[in-house]
Amino acid sequence: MSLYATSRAMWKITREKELAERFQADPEAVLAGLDLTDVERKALAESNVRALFELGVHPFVLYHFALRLAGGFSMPFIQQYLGQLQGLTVGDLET
Amino acid sequence: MSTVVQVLCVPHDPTLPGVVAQGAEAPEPLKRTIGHFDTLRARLAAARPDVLVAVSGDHFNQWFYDNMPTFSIGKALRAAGPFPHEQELFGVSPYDAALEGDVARHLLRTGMRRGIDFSYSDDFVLDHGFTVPLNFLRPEQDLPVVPIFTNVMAPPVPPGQRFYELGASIVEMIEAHPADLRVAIIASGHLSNAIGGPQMAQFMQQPDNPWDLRTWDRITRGDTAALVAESDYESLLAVGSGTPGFLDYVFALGAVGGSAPDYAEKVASTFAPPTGFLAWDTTTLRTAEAA
Repeated sequence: MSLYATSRAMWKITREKELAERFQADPEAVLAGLDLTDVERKALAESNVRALFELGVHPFVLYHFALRLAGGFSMPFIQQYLGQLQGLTVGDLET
Repeated sequence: MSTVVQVLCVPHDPTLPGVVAQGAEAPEPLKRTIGHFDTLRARLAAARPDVLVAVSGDHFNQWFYDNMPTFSIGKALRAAGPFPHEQELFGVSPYDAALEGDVARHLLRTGMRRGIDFSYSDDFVLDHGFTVPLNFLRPEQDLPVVPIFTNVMAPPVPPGQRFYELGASIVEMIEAHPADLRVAIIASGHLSNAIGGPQMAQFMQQPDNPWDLRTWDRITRGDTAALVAESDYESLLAVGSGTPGFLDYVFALGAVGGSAPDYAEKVASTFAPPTGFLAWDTTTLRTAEAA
C-alpha cells in the first residue's frame, strides 16, 4: 500500500491552489505517474473522502485536502465533510 | 541570568480571527474566547518580556512524513508565517517578527548536553499554531520569538511525561542563559477536539465532555501528576483525534512544576471545540517557593 504517495499527493494539492484547480479539472492527469494502487488512484480521482479515510489517511491531511477542494472553511463545508465520515472511527495512524 | 516571567497556555483555532471579523454578530461564547485573548495580551505586555518562546504543534504544514521531527527549534532570521494555503483556506493573517537566534542556539546546544536532541531548522514557516496566538497576544510583532515545534499529530508521539520534562528543562536552560532577558513562554494547544475526524462536531452535542471537565479540574487545582502520567498519545487520541495537541499544555505544566495557574478560563459551547486559557506569573511562583 502506498499511503505515503496518497497522502503526499493530497498534501501538495492542499498547498498549491493552481495544482488543485488542475486536479479538479482533470484528476487522472495530475495523478499520472504517481506510485498508487488502483484503489488509491480511484479514491483520489473521485476525491472520495470516506474511501481515503478508510485507506488510513490522517484526518488532518484529509481535512485540509477537502477544505482546499471546497475553497475554504465554512459551516456547510463541515456538514458535508462529516456526512461522508458518518459511522467511522479513527484507527491506528502510525505509518 | 535570564528569567521566565510568564507562562501562558492558549488555543490556536484558525477560525478565531474570523470571530473578530464578525464583531458584535459573533456568538457570545466565542466573544468570550476573544476576550480572554485580550486579557492575556494586556497581561503579557505588563510582564515586559524581551523574548517570546512559542511552543506549538505543526499541522502537516511545515513538517510531513518525509521528515517529522519530534521536537525542533527554529533558528532562521525571522519567525514568520503562516503558509499561503492557510491564509487562503481560513483567512488567517500573517505574522512576521525577528527570531531570537542567540536564545534558540543556546537551547539547541545546552539541550544536547542534557540529552535532548532537538532537531533544528534555518528555513521554515510557522503555521497557524504559532501565528494565531502570536497575532492575538503580541499584534505589534515587535518582540523576537523562539519557536519550538512539537510533533503532536504524527505518531509515534512521546508520552506526556516527556513533554512535562521538556517544559521543565526549557525553563532551566533559559535561566542558565547569560544575558539578562525576561522571557515569556507561550504554549499553543487545546483541550479536546477531533478536527478532520468523524467526531469533529462532537462539541455540538456535548460542549464539555468528561475528559475536559476532569482535566480542567486537575489543572486548576494543581493536581497534575496523574494527569501528566495519563496524557499519552493513545489516550488523548481516544478522546478526539486532535486532542494530543493538549501535550503542549503538558509542556507548560512542566515549565511551572505542575503548580496551579493564577488565571484559568475555559469556554465550552456548541459553537466551537472547548478553549482553555491558562497563565502563571512565574516570578511570584519562585517567590512562593523561596518563602
